[in-house]
Amino acid sequence: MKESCLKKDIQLRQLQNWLQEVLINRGDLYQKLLGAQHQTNFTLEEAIKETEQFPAIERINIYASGYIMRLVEALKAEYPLLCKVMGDEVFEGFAKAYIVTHPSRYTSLYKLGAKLPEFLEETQPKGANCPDQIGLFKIPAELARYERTQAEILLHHGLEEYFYYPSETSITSLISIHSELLQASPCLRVLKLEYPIRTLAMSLHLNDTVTTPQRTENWVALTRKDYKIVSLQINDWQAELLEALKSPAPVYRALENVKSANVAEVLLWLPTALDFGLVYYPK
Amino acid sequence: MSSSTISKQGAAGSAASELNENKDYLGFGVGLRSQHFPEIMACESLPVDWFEIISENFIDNHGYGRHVLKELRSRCPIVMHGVSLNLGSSDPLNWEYLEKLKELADFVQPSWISDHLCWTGILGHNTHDLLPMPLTEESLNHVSERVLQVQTFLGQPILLENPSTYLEFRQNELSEWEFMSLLVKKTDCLLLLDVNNVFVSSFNHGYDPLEYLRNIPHSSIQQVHLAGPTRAGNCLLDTHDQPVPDQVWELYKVLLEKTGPVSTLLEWDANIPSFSEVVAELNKARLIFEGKPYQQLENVDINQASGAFSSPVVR
Repeated sequence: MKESCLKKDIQLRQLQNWLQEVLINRGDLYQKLLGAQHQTNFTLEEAIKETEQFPAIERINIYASGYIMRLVEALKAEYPLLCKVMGDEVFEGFAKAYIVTHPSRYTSLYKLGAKLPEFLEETQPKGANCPDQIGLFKIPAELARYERTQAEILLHHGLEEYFYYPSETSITSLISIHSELLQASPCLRVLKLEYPIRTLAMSLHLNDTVTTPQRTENWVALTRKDYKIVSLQINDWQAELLEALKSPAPVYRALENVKSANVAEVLLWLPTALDFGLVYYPK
Repeated sequence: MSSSTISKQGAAGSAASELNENKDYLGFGVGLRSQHFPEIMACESLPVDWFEIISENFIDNHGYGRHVLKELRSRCPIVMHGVSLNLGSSDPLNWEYLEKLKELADFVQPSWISDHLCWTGILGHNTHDLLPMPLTEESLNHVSERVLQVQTFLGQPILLENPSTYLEFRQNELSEWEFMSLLVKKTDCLLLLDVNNVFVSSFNHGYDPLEYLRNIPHSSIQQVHLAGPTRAGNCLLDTHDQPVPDQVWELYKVLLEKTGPVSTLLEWDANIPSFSEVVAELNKARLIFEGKPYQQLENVDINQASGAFSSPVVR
């Protein structure tokens, strides 16, 4: 490298801009370098020292390829079931496209995968109309939503620090629940899904043989108890009741927002909801 | 860099000659990893002296990890090690992150807080990699100013770690040890010397790691990192996925002669073995510290791997 080629007046910002562009640009390494050169008017030769054994192109490739591989690994860790359904190769393809489309702007890797479910929704081909074809794209998107919800619940405030009263099903206690102030757990999430994703997820966990499930609208309540995920299939009125209990309310008041609830049915279900940590008695 | 601005040789030279007066010696620790939570929580008596946490794994984490942390902080010292302070970036400091870091520190009450001499992104991006700094006077002034701001905000000196690097900028005006020596002089920050990173970077850039160890300001080294790298073609990658190789143990031994007792931490972040295996690896450091013959240790070759990448994701 001749001294005349060196840009001595290059500022910190310019060098960082160049290196970051090489990392986050689309394409193979040469396309990334061209893109970075176009954007910063700066070349590999002007930026990086090299030796005969270890050329500049190999040096920059460690950062460029490491950037993608590291983030793909992080997404695999957050979406293990989705990866199982898609297979490594397809998952990695989507993950790479996602990383290039939504480069991380977060200090925590926990947030990296937050938009992957939406990304899978958005990248579905338009015009698919036969049920199998629709399911092929819709199921991974819903499974991603399910796994992302689990990841968020695991980090959210839960009820573990909260003093727990074991629920009773005596007539007296059931009647008292009716007027008690109840609230949904801070980490409760209710998902409305078009496919039986909870069943699919359980089968994947158990390494069961999985077939493409048929479309059937359903609700799933996800929460955490003793730092472990609880996932329950619920019906329409249960979903409405949990929604109504986002803020603390007496059950009779919350039921005003529930269309088709039978009070006896509700009172019999609430001890279960308390036991599973879906709801609690706020102080 | 002009000689009138900063006498770099003088800074490094005088710091290196100082004796270690480190009063914050914690002994031997390991990085706290979620894979080991069950084993650690089941321990009646902890087999390590202290733990290091990755700060970002516990910021905004109110799940089991926070519970483990709450239990452990009453049983042994904990230090906080960050990867997103982005000290070298030309972006403004991320005060929202710093607020969260301080909140976590209030909860953990760590022995100290550390991060890296690096940048992780600009224009609001985070590459989640520890990217190398241009080692220039401009960078030095920039990083120094930010270290001072961070130290004032946190109310304590921070420790800065030397990263593993795979490239050097043509614009560099200083060696890494000169840069770090001057940074210490300008800010009174402390150092987290990663011996494996010295080994990896010296291999990749063709300098003498012993020269690095001779010239770094020993009295400012508050903590040491040890780990195992991977050979990938013509270079070494900082993968933290295998035992510490002999070359790193040799450098550690040399460093101890210069620093005296220094808090030592083993990192193992990919292909993570059981907690007891990690502790067994850490105990090799104890052997060296106690002056036991080096031959007692097994010879460890550095594994080759084609699909490896540096700075693995730590959970």
